[in-house]
Amino acid sequence: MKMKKYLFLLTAVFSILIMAGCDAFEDFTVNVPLTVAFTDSTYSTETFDNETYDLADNSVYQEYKEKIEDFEFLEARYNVKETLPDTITGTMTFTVNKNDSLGEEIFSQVFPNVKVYKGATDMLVLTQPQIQMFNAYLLNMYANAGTTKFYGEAVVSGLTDNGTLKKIVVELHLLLKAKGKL
Amino acid sequence: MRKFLITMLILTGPTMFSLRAGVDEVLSFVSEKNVEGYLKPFVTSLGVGLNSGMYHSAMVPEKLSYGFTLRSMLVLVPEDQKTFKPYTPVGYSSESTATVYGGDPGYIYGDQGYISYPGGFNVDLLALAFPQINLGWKGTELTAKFTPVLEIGESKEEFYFYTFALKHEVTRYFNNVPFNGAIQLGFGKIKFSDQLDFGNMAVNLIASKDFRLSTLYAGLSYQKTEVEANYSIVGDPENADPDLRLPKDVSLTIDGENGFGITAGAALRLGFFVLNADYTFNFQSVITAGMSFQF
Repeated sequence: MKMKKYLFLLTAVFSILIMAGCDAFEDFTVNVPLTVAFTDSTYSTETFDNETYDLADNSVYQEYKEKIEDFEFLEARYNVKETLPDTITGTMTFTVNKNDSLGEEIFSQVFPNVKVYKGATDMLVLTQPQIQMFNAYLLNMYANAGTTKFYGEAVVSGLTDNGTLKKIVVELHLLLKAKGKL
Repeated sequence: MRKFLITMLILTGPTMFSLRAGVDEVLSFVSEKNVEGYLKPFVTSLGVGLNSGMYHSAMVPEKLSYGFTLRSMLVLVPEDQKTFKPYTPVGYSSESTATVYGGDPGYIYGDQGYISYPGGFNVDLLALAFPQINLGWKGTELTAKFTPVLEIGESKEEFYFYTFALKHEVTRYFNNVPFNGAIQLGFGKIKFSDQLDFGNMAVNLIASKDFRLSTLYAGLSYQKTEVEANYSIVGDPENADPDLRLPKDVSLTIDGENGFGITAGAALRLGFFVLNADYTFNFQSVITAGMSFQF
């Protein structure tokens, strides 16, 4: 009888250890990088391009979408890939909306009077309400099966009006963090 | 008793398998150059886990002896094994990121955008439990931990592990030695389907001293662990890391932190019933507790 008690107690202890071991390897965190490329040229004083990005096309998202439970915005930067002429000066503005051009604006970031050249990069600093709105939109994809699309605009304004061709290729890089259970 | 043993064996398999499953899920976006740094602490854990608790005395009786032990271990993960410096492509500078035991995923920024690394599972310690049997005769003892081949999960993936260790008491050849001394050689293997195949080898030098009801014991061990890992990279043409743009099957061998460890412990003998606990100082230290039935 005593032996049975010992065995029962040991089974309980070992089971707890085993369950602890399992739980430790269930929760995962993964970053999801997104890249949106804008290309435009103009002979006047402003370039403009817009793109729609669907998170559903992202391979990291595809891999984990069934297991993701929470999503949050981490960081965003722009990176200029190409300009014509080599350096242009203007005011660069990035805007990201929910879903499409008519969707609610998540954030808009202005870089006034910046020198734009190949390799130029800077971080987009979002306010807390903007981050919260972004996170809420991401979470809505799961909680309410919402859309996975974003609409982005890149504008460079205030360019010198000299009648020459001005061109810019710029990428907007966003980094999201996903948490889930395997 | 037999039902209990079967339960133990079946429970041990899924524990180990869940570790493997967790690790395997996050490798889809880890390049071949970084998988070693990411997984190395996990390989080390299984190495020290397999080699721990293989003895609680150097003494082996002259007559036939046998026993059964329930062994549990806590593998303690040091802070410095929760991060590693990953390989980075040209144009990026390397910053520490999480190993499999670390926290949030790391990332770096460069010309091609963000390169991200997988997060870890926030593991401070790893709990393992194994049943163990031993058989001794004329100063030599065989100890074994093992599971039968189990098919686990919906995909019925195959899992098994075993460790065999042969211990020989060497002080039996000398007179007037005030303690018992033994050498032990151990071999272990853990197989998770075709994806992870662990191999472990250990040499233990053991000394013990018996008192009326208790035994104090200590050991110096050398262990070597490696894993043959096979996994698939999903492939993402837009990934900033060129090594992750194409789908690829990766196959490589990863060494754990191999080297020496020191063990100190005590056992309490109450007839055929023995309780023991010890601490092993190693790359990952291990606290072991066991309850044995020795005949």
